[in-house]
Amino acid sequence: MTKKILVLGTLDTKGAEIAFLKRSIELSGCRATVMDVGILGQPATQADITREDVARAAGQTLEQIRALPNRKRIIGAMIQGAIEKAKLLHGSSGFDGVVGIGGGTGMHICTAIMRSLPMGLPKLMVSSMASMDVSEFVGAKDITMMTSVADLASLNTVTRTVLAQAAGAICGMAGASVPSSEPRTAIAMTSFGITTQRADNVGRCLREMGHELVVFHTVGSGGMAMEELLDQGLFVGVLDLTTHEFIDQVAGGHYGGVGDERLETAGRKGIPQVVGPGGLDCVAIFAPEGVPAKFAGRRTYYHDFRVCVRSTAAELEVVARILADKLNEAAGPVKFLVPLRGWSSASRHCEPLFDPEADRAFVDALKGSLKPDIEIREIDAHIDDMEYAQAAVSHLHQMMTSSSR
Amino acid sequence: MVKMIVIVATLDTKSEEARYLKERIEEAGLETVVVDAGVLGDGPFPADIPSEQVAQLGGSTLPELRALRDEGKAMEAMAGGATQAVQDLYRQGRLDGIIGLGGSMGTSVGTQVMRSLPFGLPKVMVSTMASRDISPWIGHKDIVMLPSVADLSGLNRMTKRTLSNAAGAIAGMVQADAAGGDGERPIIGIGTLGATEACARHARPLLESMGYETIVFHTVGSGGRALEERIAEGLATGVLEISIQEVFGNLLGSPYDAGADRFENAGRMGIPQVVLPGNADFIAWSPPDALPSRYRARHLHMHNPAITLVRSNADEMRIIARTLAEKLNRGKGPTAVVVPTEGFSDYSRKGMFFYEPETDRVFAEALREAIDPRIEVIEVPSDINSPACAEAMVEAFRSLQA
Repeated sequence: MTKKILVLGTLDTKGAEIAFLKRSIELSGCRATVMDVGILGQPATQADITREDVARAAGQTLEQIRALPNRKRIIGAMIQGAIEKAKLLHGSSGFDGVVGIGGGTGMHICTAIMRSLPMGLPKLMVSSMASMDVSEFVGAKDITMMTSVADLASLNTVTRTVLAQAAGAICGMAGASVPSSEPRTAIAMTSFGITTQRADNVGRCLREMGHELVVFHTVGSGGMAMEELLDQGLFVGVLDLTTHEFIDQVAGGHYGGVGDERLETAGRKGIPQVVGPGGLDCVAIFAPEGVPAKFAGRRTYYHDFRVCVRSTAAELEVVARILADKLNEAAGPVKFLVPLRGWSSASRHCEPLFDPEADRAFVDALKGSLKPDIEIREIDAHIDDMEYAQAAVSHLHQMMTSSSR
Repeated sequence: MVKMIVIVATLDTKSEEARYLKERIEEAGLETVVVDAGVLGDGPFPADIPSEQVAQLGGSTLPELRALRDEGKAMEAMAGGATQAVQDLYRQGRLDGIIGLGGSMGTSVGTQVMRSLPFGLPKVMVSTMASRDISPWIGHKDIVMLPSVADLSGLNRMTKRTLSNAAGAIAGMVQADAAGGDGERPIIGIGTLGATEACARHARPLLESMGYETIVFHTVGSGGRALEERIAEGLATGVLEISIQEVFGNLLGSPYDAGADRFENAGRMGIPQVVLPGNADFIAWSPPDALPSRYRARHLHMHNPAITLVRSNADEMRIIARTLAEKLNRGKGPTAVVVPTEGFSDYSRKGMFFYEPETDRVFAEALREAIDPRIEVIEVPSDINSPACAEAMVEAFRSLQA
């Protein structure tokens, strides 16, 4: 069956480029539907979904949107209408991939639309701005970024190559199939650093029980991506063993402040969860020019371009209270599993960051703040040890089987 | 001929995932060459270019690298070796596209290899690190970053979907009709930002009627670097630099930094160039909370949630004018500067929030003091985005060629 691609862009400034992209998509054997998300000028070519349609979906006319008092509200209204149209189209005749082109503003609009579409649906953004910090644009979604290298302001050697490849990429993605395998229920797990071995061990244990494991790397977007998928109902249980983001949030590390929802979705949905202190013993910093002065005197561990700095008892007590506040609200079963021999590969017993006294302060603070029906288990092992992995899996299994009865 | 895709991966930790990707690509009718950049041991399936060979090409051996007990250093050697291996394939004409997968180390190795390959050769990096700042990975190359939302750790419904999409993307890219330019008309490189884009838009048809093809670069750091690189490669026969914002980036540390040699390659190559002080009326900074405190009390404009503009003052005008003059003075080709006196961007036209003609005047004064007399400075009594300014720019360019 012919695959359908939704093409997003502003037809006033990128008319010729979008027409070329559409032609290239059709040359690749797919069908293209163009949605015009431009506002100000005159569209240079005909859209399948016009800017007037988009405005109407936002409950206004194009003139009303143009008359809004500032750029932010004008763009906001077009985004709202475009999301509405895209969701409607996806729910009715459907499409198999979405591609957007634009500069800064175009990327802002197009990626907002893409973020509203489900995970797994191919999404490709082509932009001259797709070469820098894209976190604002990608969020926790699977948006592929293709830099246009040259500005998408005319058709020429460079832009024609980029647009033809973009057409190839989105059509290739839309046509890609995932060979089906036996259905399993999925368990989410957070991990950090080089813990592949542990993930393999956990994966094997879970497979024997008929589950499959999906691992999220808690370096920025991973944790929030898991929360979003938990909200979509993809997982029946969670091994949130690596809560590292919270120490970065409290101590000023690199991966802090990822989102308010972190560590809350499983509780809200009543999904069983085993939580651990993975990575809480180190504050991750990007320090090409050396460790910042505020961390002077602390033990450090050089990972690669990142440096891990030992967290203090005082910081961990704050983290313990934040975690407790979140977990105390959970509607489903929760257990907290503390490994006693270190919480990251930087603090295996002989490594520089191991500090059992600071770790103890965390456990004491946690015991003081968690409500009594949340059990805290101490395991005499390192977090990467098989023993800890097995304990985590068996506790989760136990909660899942007793809660389903 | 069947297209060949190189897969760069560390098979010690990502063997299962690499094999899945390879199978999906082969299903799409392409051939693959797997290059193993892992150091910890062999994976369960054999690479076409095994890790031992990669280590040797990197000037070392696997036991030596393991003995280092320093993952960063080991990876450096493996990246060097993998680059060597891929370059050999490229020279033999056995390479149509490249794809990598990995976490931070895998991304570092994969993109280093990709950056050694020319523009236009399809490059896809599947990475757990593709949703933040990707500039360290892609540099100014055309590397497509495909985020793996879940960790590439085991095959499951999410990683399979990600890897299948990635296989589709690279397969689609190498099979896309290589568009290419018309290859006949000489090329003019144009640098601009959105706030001066109208100038480029007015100039393009004029240049095209003179028989040129125009290529526009977005001067947000990576764009300026890409333009300099294309100039140094000899792609352009002339340059119109409408935006000099990146000079601030390099001098003041603001985000749009295109390197110290920005505005110097055209002079080095001796090709004609016309430069305008576009976007010198502001300094583009990151979100409000990342704005250095010394700018907090200045005249600010929130461009969008990610970008804050600071109105440049007389001192900054003087600095940017002098720096630009020094750069242009070093050049050996014909050069002219066109200064619009009624605004350096959309934002400093009459009636706009950055309208400050007395500040802008400092630019022309400081420039004239510092610039080599052989470089003509032409003042145009209009704003930069008016058709008159674009016409003056094209006219100046035409006279440089005579």
